[in-house]
Amino acid sequence: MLATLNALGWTFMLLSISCVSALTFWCFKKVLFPAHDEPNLPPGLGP
Amino acid sequence: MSNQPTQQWGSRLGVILAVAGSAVGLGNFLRFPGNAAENGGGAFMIPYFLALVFLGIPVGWAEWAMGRYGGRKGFHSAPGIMGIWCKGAWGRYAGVLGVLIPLGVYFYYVLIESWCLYYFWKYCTGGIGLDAATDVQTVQVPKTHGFFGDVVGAAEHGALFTNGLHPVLVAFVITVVCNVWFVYRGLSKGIETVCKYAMPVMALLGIVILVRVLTLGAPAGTTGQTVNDGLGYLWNPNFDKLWDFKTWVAATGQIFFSLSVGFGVIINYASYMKKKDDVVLSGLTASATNEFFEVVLGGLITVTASVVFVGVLLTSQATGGSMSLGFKTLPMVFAQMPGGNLFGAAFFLILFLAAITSSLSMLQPTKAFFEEALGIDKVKSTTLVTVWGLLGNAFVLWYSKGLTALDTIDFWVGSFFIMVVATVQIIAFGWIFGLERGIQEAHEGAQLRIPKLFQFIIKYVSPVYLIVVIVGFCITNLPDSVKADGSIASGYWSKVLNDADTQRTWWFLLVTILGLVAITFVGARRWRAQGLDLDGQLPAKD
Repeated sequence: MLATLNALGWTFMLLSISCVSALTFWCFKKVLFPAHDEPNLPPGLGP
Repeated sequence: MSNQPTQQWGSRLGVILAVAGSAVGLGNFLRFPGNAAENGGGAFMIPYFLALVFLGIPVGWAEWAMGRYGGRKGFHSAPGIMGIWCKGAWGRYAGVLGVLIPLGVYFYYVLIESWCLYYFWKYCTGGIGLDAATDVQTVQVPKTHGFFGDVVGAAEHGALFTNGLHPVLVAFVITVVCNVWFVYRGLSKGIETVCKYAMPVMALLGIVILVRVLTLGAPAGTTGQTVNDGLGYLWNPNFDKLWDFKTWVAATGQIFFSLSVGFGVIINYASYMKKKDDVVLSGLTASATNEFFEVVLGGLITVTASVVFVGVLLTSQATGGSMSLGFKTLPMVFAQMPGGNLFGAAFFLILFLAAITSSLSMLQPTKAFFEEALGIDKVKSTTLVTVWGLLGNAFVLWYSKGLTALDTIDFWVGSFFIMVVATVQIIAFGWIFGLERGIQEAHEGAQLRIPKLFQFIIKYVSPVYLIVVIVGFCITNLPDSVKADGSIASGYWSKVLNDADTQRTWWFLLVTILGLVAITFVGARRWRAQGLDLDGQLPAKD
């Protein structure tokens, strides 16, 4: 049952790989560069 | 408790890599692609991702939260921690399975690890003696299978010890010494350090091999099949398979085997975290890392290369839930690939690194259990876990005929009991301890919040999903079945009743379980005498 990668196969493959890669990248970004709360600015500064 | 100072992880990244290292193992590179190809290709990813979302991630989060909470109450072993979450002795004794699983899987896993090391050594020193010019079916297949059978001693019991010791035993000794040494050094200096180096090396080598495989084209003198054919074999969806319950069971089994949830490892690792450490993001990151290795590297390398060099027929014969693709088929691929010995060595080095980061995680929960239940120091606990592990290794090494002992332990301990432990954990988290309290505990120090939808999934969907899968797993694996050619394939139940090798393995497992139950009994008396809250009646210390 030899069959070259078809359009649906491409879709499943690319979707799976991109979902997993994006999730991994997003998680490591959060771990390595955690978001900090905005610092309390002194009076007179800021908007 | 032992008199040892409490261990802790060196860094947040360290614990994530350690858990990811525990999860990334042979299953990612060998078991996943075979399972996917056999169960509908791209369509397999539907039940696979559903199992990840409804079981893998929620049970993982529950286990991380349970572990950290248990650690704050002074416990680091599954029996101690599950006793708290289940609020009673039954949870403590169900937690014995959380020690049996890593220990039992270690009995055979370290042997497979030593096969990887032995193959790596063979490829560093010239390969396994395959001649690419010879016929694949009549010469290379028998030779590769014969080499593998010789390495594992499949011909008869004790085959590795007759006619002089087999060289694979040297690889076994080196593997055991490495495992024991790193576990003895402790969490931060041992396991964390190994994973911090091994994980990036594995990713790098994997990407190098992936690029090589995807640029193969259709090499002259091979099957004429291209990379596109290999990818098509694995990824083209066959939606008919979705109507077969076996596909759903296989997908769920793959998620459990791969993520190490319900394994007794995460609960132990998380118990060394501090109250303000983020278990939600750490759990998700460890799962995502494992999925990256599995879907991206495992899903693109092995089957694709195998189809290009030895064709669909030989590849399909080696797929399924087994590891044979790596040891029986890929050596023929490397024999025909330009620079095959180099890529063979790199591939088996990846497998060895993946395996050792996993096997280290199997010894640590048992060692921690001995320390806290028996009140012994790390020298004694390491000695005890080494001796017990060696007894199990020796059993599987000696009773090697047809790999029945290995197969039996893998089925019951490495598959069935994992789902049982996961079920107990998710019910304890959502129903006994209470979902709100559990989620509150998980959210301590968390950057991420567990979405409301997942809270519903943890409470209702995951337990039902797990029970359905366990029933399905029993229906599809325990009774005898009729093969396509009309012959009868023995189910595991009839093997337990009729096969002497299977029975012997079950007796061995039973003795192991009884030993762990006895130690839990002794531990419970000690913990009670020390005034510890072993039934989870009091709030945790900060």
